[in-house]
Amino acid sequence: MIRGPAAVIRFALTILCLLLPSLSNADLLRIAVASNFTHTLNTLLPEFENDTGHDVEISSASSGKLYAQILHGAPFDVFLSADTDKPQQLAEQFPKIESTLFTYATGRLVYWCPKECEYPLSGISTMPATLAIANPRLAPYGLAAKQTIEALKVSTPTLVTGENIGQAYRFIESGHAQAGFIALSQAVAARLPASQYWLVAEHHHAAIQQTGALTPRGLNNPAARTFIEYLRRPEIQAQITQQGYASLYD
Amino acid sequence: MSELSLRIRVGLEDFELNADLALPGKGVSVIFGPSGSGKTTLLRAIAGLQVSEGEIWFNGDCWQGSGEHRKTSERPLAYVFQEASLFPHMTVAANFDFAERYALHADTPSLRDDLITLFDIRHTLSRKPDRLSGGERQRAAIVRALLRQPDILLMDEPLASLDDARKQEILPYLERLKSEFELPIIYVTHSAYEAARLGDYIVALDKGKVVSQGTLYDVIGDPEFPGDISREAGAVVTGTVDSIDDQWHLAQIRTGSSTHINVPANNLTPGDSVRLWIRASDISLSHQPLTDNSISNSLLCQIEDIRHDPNPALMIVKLRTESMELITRITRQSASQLELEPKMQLYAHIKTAALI
Amino acid sequence: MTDFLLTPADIEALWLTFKLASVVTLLLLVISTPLALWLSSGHSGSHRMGTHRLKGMVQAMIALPLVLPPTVLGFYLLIAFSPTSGPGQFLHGIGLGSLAFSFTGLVIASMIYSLPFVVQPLVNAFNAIGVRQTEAAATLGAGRWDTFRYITLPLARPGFITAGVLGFAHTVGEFGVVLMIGGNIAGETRVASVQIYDHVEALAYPQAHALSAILLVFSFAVLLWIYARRTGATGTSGAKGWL
Repeated sequence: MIRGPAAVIRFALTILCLLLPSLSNADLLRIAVASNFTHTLNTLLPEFENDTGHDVEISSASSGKLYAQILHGAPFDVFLSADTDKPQQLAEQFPKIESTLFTYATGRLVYWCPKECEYPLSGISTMPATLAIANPRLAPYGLAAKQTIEALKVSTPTLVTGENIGQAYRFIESGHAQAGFIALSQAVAARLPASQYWLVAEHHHAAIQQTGALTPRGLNNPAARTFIEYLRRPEIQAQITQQGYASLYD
Repeated sequence: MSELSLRIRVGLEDFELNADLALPGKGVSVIFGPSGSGKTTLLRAIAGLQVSEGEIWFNGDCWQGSGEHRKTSERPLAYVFQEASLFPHMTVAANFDFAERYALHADTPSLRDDLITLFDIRHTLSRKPDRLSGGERQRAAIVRALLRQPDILLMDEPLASLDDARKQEILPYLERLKSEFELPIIYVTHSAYEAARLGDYIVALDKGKVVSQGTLYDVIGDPEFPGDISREAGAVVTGTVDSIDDQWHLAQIRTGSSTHINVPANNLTPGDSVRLWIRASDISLSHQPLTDNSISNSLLCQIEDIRHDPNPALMIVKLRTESMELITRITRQSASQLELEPKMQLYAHIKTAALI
Repeated sequence: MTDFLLTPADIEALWLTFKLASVVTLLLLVISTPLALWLSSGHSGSHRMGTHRLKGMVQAMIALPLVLPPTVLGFYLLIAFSPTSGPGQFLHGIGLGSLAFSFTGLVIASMIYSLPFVVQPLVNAFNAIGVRQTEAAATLGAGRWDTFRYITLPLARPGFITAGVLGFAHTVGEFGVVLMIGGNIAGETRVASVQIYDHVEALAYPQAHALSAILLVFSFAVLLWIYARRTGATGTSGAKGWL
């Protein structure tokens, strides 16, 4: 209960103090990141925040959703998509960001079969009854998986698509699908035993280039540029590679 | 002789219903009591609509007890609810069709036509229940119940939801029911008047316990009776119209071989058979026939029994004349002054006899 | 871009949605009727205390899908019915195959998800009829089935219609559960709602618009019909809608 003018002033000052941090000079950086890179990004952020003093907030969702949000003015500064397509479409809408497009990671596809499984990619005919991949239409890993399957002329009774590689992973993990194609980064993050998965040779599919860009808003945020440069540093790229990606600098 | 015997217990919110009864298997057995005394619960328990502990036997058939529990639909009864409860989505005729499907004695000829005439509802047959008056609905419900050809009819305060005029309208139908069908009826009511008019056997409940039971004459002298039934006491008398006196506009009703009662002629014609209700308080007694008096009906009777009325100032006297039994209620003082004793012969003066 | 806004895949998705909703609604009406009858029964003196408590629990369980996010339901179904689990093996054993990635699985999941939308209106309808009608039928000698067929069913007809329409419409709109266990298989589990989602994800907005518009118009028409019936109805219908 507010009693008297003194109390009102005290109340207002308290609110003001709570607002102060956001009025500070350290810039806030908002990153929109595709779900499959979120885990990796989180491992890089503490160091970035320490080094630069910037605060970072991330929003993780599917690339398609993030694109739609940014298109309609969502307050993100950096867009880390899972594919190349969406940042390019964003650049078509906002030509100014065209020059900021860059590949921040190259994905690797793996074939994962948790239970006893013959590695089929050498042309053996037996395939598990149900194979799970990400939706080729929506996820680059899914597209890569589809290309791999076609390249190796493999046939399977049931091909199941998850909305994203996360769901493909879940299908396989829960046993609903006996095997499938997931991202190397997922296998690394989940510490899957090496005996369970096989790296798919890159020439079987189009490169999975995970592309990032500044958003129109981010063009005005110095912290955003700092971050992009940070991501491209060799030592940071080495960390990213360790998490299950192809190295950019070979 | 058929009989409905029961020994049941039902736990209710405020009290426990505990009844051990043997109701006669013919005529109307009235279950009387103030509201909340458990009488409807008792009736529903008999029907099987209410769960109860104990036994119920009808005509030697076990309806309930020692492991057996017959569903309502398997008991050869029919039930008339307080609010008619005709099926609202069917016409009256369709309601009757429904009942006839389950007629218990399907091989006997259908009484449908007779019942419709008897209860005067032919004009309602093609209507749905919401287009009937309260009285018509109740009559239709009774007919529907009868179409089942039950071995016993249960009626739960069928007149309670009607106004006085409708009640008077339907009572004669109920009395017709009594006289036309050899059907035992169990009739629940809180009206002492209905109990007196209809009851051959009366059971009174109070807070779930049977506090009084017997014929009308038995219970009107019972101080435990939870209602002023002696005030409503009376007798039904049947007779035929002998002649009409045009000058005084009176009808002469012959009851028995020689006894006559005069009533206002109204619309009666000679040869009509009539029923009269003679209230106990409308009969006075004297040793001599009265001539200089406005009461015109004087009958020679014999006293069958005298008993005390719950009201300490009054006495109840049962009289017999030829074919009729009458009940009268007089002050104890008069009884003493007249030196009344059983078997005494004296004159009963009937002030009013209502046509019913 | 495509010439027609509705590709064959879209039409197949719509047809699949319709098929799913029809099958689910029919099955739900069949199993919900005895369930709703049981839940709405229980007039004075015909139940012991324990039964009342059991009914309360069952009603709460049935109503869960009203409150739980569909993705939660889908998620738990995925786990619960994995082929290595008890329930999953049971389903295999009775020949129903896997819950995920199949039309059958989707039917079962949808039935759980839409159950309260069918049970609730039926319970309300039966309650509105009240106990007197069925008692009267019993006193006239009608057995349980006859009473249901000639008395309860006709009187509850509006409730059945509402239950059927709600169940159907709700299944048409189902998304979260399908997303979790469907696997997006054309002709089996790629229903219209998932198709729209994929269109949006793939930035194919015109197609998303087209399909969404169809579903929007359909839903609105359904709701309009329900509400028009309610406010326009006079007569002896005793079934109040659940909305």
